[in-house]
Amino acid sequence: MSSSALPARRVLIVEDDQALREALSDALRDEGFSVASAADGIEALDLLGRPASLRPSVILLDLTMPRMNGWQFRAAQRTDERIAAIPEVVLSASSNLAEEADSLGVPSDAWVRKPVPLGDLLAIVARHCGGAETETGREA
Amino acid sequence: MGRRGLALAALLVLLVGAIALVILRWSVADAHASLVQAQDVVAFGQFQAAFNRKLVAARGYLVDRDDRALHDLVVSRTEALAELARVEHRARPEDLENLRAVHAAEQAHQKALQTAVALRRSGASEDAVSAAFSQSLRERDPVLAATKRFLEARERSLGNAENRTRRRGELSFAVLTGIAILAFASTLVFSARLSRRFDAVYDAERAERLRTEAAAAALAESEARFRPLYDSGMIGICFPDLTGKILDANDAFLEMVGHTREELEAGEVNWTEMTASESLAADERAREEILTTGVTGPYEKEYVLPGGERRSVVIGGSLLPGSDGRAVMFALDVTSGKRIEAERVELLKREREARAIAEAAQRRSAYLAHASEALAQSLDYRSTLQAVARLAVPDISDWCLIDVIPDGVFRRVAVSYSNPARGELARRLEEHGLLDPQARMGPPQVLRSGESELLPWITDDMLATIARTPRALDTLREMNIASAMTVAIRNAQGIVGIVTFLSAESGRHFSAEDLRLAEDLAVRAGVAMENARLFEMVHQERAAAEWHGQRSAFLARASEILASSLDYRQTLANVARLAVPEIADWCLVDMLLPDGTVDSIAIEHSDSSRADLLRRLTRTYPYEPEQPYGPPHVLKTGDPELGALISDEMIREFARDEEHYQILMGLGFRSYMCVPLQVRGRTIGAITFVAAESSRRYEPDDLALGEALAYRAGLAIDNARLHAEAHDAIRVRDDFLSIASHELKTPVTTLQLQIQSLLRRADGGPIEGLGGRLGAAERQVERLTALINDLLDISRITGGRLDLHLEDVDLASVVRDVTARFEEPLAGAGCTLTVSGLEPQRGMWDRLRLDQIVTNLLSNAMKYGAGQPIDVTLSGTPHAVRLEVRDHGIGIAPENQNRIFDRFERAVSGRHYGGLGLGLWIVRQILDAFGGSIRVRSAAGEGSTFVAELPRTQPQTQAGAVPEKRRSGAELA
Repeated sequence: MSSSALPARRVLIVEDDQALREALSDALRDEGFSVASAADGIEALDLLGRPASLRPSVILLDLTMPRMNGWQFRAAQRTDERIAAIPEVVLSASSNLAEEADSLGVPSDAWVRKPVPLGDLLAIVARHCGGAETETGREA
Repeated sequence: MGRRGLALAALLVLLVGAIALVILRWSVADAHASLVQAQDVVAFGQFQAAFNRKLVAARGYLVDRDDRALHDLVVSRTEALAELARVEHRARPEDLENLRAVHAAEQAHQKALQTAVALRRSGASEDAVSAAFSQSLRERDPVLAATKRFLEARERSLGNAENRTRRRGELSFAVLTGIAILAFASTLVFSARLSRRFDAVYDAERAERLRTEAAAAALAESEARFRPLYDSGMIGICFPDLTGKILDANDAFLEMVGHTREELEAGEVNWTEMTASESLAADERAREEILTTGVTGPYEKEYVLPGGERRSVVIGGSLLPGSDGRAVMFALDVTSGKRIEAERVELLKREREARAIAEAAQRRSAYLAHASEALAQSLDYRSTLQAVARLAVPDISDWCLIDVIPDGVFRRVAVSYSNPARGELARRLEEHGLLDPQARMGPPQVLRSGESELLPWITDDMLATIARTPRALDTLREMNIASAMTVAIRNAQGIVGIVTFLSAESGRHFSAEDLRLAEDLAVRAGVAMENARLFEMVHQERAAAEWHGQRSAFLARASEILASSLDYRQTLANVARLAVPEIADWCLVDMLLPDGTVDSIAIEHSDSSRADLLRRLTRTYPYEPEQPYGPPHVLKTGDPELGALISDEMIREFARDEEHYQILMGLGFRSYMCVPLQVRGRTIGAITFVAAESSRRYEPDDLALGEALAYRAGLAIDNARLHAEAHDAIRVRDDFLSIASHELKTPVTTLQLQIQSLLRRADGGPIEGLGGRLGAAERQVERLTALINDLLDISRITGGRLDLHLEDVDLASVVRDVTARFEEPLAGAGCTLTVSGLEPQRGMWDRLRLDQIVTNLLSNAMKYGAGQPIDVTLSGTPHAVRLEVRDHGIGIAPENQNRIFDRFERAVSGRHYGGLGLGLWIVRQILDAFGGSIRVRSAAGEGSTFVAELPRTQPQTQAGAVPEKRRSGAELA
């Protein structure tokens, strides 16, 4: 796990359940991701308002949250052109992932059903991070 | 006086006599002619009368539209023409012109009338007919004018004829007197017999005769010549004295008065004795005249012959001078003319009588025919008898009253009367108890004896006998009853009715003939009533049977409706609709709400506008518990109500105010029943059946029907309530499952992530055996995840929220993925897996759900077939794909094969095998959603083969939500 050799891959976790949030952070950090986390959509928007260098490559988004849920966050994100392009991986307990993906405008391969095997989750996050990395690279 | 002179005198006498005779005949002929003319005037009067009747009949038929008047119209015209023809037949040439004018005018009028009649027959409007009638009235005046002209001409000529007759009479009298004198002179000369009688006066002549044979011979010759006049029989000659004794007479006179010469000679022929009594006065006047003036006549008188026959004569004469009151009278027999006239009159009279009889007979038979027709037409005897009574008036009687006696008590069913002004009186006759039931006459007597009664004359005593009270007597007197007849109507049971015919205004008196007619009628009425009774019986039986059948059918159908759905408000409304109109004209369903108000959930009537009216009324006047009848009362008391007859008072008591009362009255409620709807002893509603226009009447039997229906409805409502409660409980449970499984997912996810993170870091790590234990923990997390997913699926499927995301999927690839995932667990369970037929099998499915099917079938095979091989086989047709999963485990007994696909079910006890018992149920639900199926082939101890059939495409309607197909008994427990 010589993660320092890898380019910085930043993940923003937006999840209201503290235990899950921490478990996800630990697991991703173990794999060399740089992780920030927020307990709901408002906190996440606050974090995203920071300097561009700290912007995440991918957002791991829970849908059911207090204050501002995943859908509301997604809507707010889209109206802010600075962060609108950041890809999302959606985390949901719902079994009707495909329909919800359609309603959010997120590709169905970016959906993760709870509970999810760690290996699957890491693969999906890495895949979407890669795209963001390229983009971030151009920006940089 | 010489013989030559005598002969000359005799000749003169003959000549004058002949002239006198001619004049006399003229006179008589004139008298006759006057008589005929007078008859013509009378006949013409009758023509006018008939013509007037015709006008009245025409008005009756055309304006008053009375069909019977048409008959009168024809009859009166026939009579008028007959009278006219009669006059015409005897008419003198000078009358003909006037007569023809009358005729022509009458024809013109008739033509105008026929136009009007034709119009009325063709059904033209009243205005058109009236106009035609008015047109015909304009043609009436020429008829009347022509008639008047004719009559005036006739009167003039009649006056002339009278004058002429009088003049001729005077002339003939003078001549006759002369003749008489001459004749007497002659007879003194020529008649030996006469000379014997009058020798005292004519001694000289007799001496002369005795003296001269030659003269005698000449006389004989002369007598022979005069004799024919005396003997001719053309004229009767007699010689009465002042006492009326006929001293002598010629044969003609004797023949005229019917006596023989022997009687004459015996002095038995007396003027007064043989004179008809009505001629005595004329005789007396003639006697006075003759005594004062010496002459009399001619006048008409009648003799009565010994046989009673009458002779009319015209007679005149003079006193024989110096004869002590002896006279000579000349009589001419005019009987034949008189008789002909009398016969004509008699004939006319007989003809009229015959016609009247014929008409009466025709009327009777027409009446009987009409009555029979009326009686046969209807099986409702009441209206039939009313028709019979109407027909009887006025042809048969002025009043016709018909009573039936169903139970020994008179019940008047029909009263008809000819005089429209008698309506008030007729109403009084409707009162019962007018007649004394003990009276020995009239209807009470006929009822007792059964014998018909004919009372041609009704006296006040009779009325007093039969009237029950003084007031009744007044009523009877007021009727002016002239005649009465009463007959009984019988059927097989005996006397069932009484018909009374009364004459009043017409003043006619009933005859035996009339009574026969009445009896005929009664027989027919009896038959009709018997038919009506039999029909009524059959009808009632049939109606009762139909009603019974209707009720049973209704109850059966209503029970079906009640069982058809758990929405009892809807089913009760459907039952109400079903009840109308077979069981009731109105059906109302009211439910008591928890706050005590009443919710009217159904108000049904075949006419929706009337139903709306009552709905509005029920909103305007909501039920109040103190209302003494109907739904509010039944809701309050919980007792059923039967109102066989709804009286005005009941509606008055039910109504909240006058307007409410008026509207309710307008709805015409007749009979009702109201039954409470009860659930576990509590009244929660009421069903009300009301009869109105159908005149149905509810009986206790019907109430039993209502209660049976209410009982069933109560059960249905209770069932529905229980079901709703159970349904709610299930919904709460499913909601709970859904929330709980969602809530469980987050901690399980956390747990799983932590374990798997640890596993990744433990790989080749320093702690011995950590990896194996973490692996065990991970498997338990996976098991937990599967259980949570199953629970979530249950709530989703039972809630109809199983959403399918259909896409093009290859079932073979899904099978490959799943079997790969199962490698490790299968190895752990000691099962060898054989998969065959892994060619691509594509279809429109939901990938995750397909995965679930394969997973569940495989884990099921693994669970029950541990340590045994498992075969998975895929095969396809163009439209469907078949997936078979075969194990070699414990198998399933046939009796359990159906229930293994139910929720929470297993073929064997759950103690030995884990899981929620949901796997196969979920498989089946998903396959249902795909439009596919699953079945099992198995026997105990021989393993099981599950065969899933999947159509490659689904019908659109089945994509998406899946309603729960079957209710498990467990849900209601």
